[in-house]
Amino acid sequence: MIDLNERTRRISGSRLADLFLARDIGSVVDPFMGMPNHLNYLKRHGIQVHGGDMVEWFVRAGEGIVVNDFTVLRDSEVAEIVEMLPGRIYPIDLFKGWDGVFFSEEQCAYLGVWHANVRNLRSDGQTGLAIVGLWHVLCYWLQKALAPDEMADVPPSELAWRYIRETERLVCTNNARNTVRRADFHATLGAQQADCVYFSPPGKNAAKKADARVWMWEAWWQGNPYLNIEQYYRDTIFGQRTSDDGSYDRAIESVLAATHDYPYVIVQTTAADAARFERLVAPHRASVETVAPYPEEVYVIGKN
Amino acid sequence: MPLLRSVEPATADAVRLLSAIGDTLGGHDLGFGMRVATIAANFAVQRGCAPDIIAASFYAGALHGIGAVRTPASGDLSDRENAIAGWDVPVHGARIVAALGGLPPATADYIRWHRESFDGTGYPDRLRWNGIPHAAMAINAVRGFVEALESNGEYASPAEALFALVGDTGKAFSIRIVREFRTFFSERSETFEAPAEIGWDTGDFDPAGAVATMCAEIDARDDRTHGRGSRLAALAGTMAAAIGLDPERAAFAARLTALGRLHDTLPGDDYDPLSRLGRDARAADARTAQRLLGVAPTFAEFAPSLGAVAEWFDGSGLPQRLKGSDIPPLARLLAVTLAGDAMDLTSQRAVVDNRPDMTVRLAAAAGTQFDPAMVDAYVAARAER
Repeated sequence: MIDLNERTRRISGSRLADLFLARDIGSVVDPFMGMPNHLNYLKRHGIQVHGGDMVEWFVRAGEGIVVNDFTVLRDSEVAEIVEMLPGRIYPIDLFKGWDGVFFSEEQCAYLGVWHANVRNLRSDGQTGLAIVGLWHVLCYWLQKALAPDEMADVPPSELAWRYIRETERLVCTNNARNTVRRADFHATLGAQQADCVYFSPPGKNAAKKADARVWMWEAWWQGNPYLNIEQYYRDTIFGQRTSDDGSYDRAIESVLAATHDYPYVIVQTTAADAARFERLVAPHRASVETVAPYPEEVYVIGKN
Repeated sequence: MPLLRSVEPATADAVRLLSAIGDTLGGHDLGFGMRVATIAANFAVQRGCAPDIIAASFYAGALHGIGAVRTPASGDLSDRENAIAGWDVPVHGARIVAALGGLPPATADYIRWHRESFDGTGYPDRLRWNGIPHAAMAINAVRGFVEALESNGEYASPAEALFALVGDTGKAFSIRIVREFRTFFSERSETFEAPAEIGWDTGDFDPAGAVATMCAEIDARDDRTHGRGSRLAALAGTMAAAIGLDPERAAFAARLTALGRLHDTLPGDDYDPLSRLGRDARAADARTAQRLLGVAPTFAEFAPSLGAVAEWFDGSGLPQRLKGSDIPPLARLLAVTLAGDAMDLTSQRAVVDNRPDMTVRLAAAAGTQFDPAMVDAYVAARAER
């Protein structure tokens, strides 16, 4: 049985907006953005946002909810994603490797159909929105596999319809050019200029410990149920061994060194690690301030 | 209305009044927020939470809707814009509560995240899984339960309302929170709305200040009334001192007039305040303020005065057609200050204002619409400023 421990970092766009408002920060770069809901919130509130990540579906999602200012998926377009189109041959065996392990045969077939339909969309914005919507379906199915009697049975296409349709409300504009890129932090930070760099640092050996739902969705997007996302990080600092404190600190320091041109750097961590990050940020910044609304939500803010 | 044990009465009343404002803005029956608060606190007790979490759950439950005061009036927006504006209601509420002070520290953040969904489709932040504080999700579960209870007949009984909640397992709510709520409901089916024991010292909470802050927020919804409470309070205080009323009471009552404008689409004082045309709208505003103040005994003493600001001195006003000294003195005072402020605003905005001076117009209305003594006091107070 798959391990779904509900563990995730609390990345709150509204909290970041409060921090930015108090410091007159109008643009931000997040080089480890993950699922960019926080960037969507910030964009919706007028802040120019740039994100980067090594996992492609995060970037595709960003194209839907961060870069995309106008394009939505209308009812007829959603219908063409969630159901088999007549006359088309679908790779319904593409995810057969997951059959009986994580999903039922019907669910695997739908994953194949959706993969083909989403890949067939011509707009990056629409593709991103579809990926975001269908990701919720994947999470729902996996959760239901753990508690089959406690969650409602919803037909796959209906569930997908509902989740994709509601992404329409995430589309907005802030009259600024917002970007996402599939790149490591060096490339992302080097390509942008902004008032602030925000990041929630990857944990030690983060690639190995990635949430099942994250790597499975990347595997779905790439059409390879056996994909291992560790390979994405192989040539990056966080892909090398970062299980010991020394090498992990060096990895974080190299990120902080790349943020020198940005007036602010905000590192989100937890109370347990706050002292470590204060120590790491201090040599790179003239002043360091810590804002700690919760033990599991601490912001180390460095200013030039 | 459930009692709050161990809470200072004035604090409890201020929370009730603020909660009622949230109820009105959210289109709920008065008492909705307090019902959520009581059940949320009892649910937290059942889960074995620490006293500060129980208290924060209570206050967050009570005040979860007040952020709507910072959203634009729905009449100005399309359905989509309205829904998106609604996403910011919890954040606005969190900011207002954080600024009030004195409440448990987690209160603001429980309000901020009480509409997040377990599956990551909630708002404002689309947090998911354990990124949502457990207590915030518990408040959302209770809110959904009470909303189902109060909906028009679809969920008539608590058991059926619980069924609505269970249907959202894995979507809005985690499996764990639904299991806990089912246990809570089955073990406390008779007493889940029993008075809640709130063990939190709200020593730094200023009840009157909190109400005044909220009234200022209501005034700020419309640029025609932005800052009106402060202007009225200054004049009302001076007038009250001159005619032998309590200046502090008069100033506070002046701020409370904002309560009447909670859901104005056509503000009563958009009409010429000296015409009979706006009487109905002004009387409706007055009734709204009176009704809201009725939920909080500490502030209820102001209700008769606030409810009579649309009465005319000659007995031709609304809603009760009170006459002369039957109209509470504070109401007579507020009637003049409200009209004066509206006339001020109109003349400031007018490109060409051919109407006579405001003092002349007020003097002409003395004895019919206004108490002549109050008009004299108002003119003197304005001259003094």
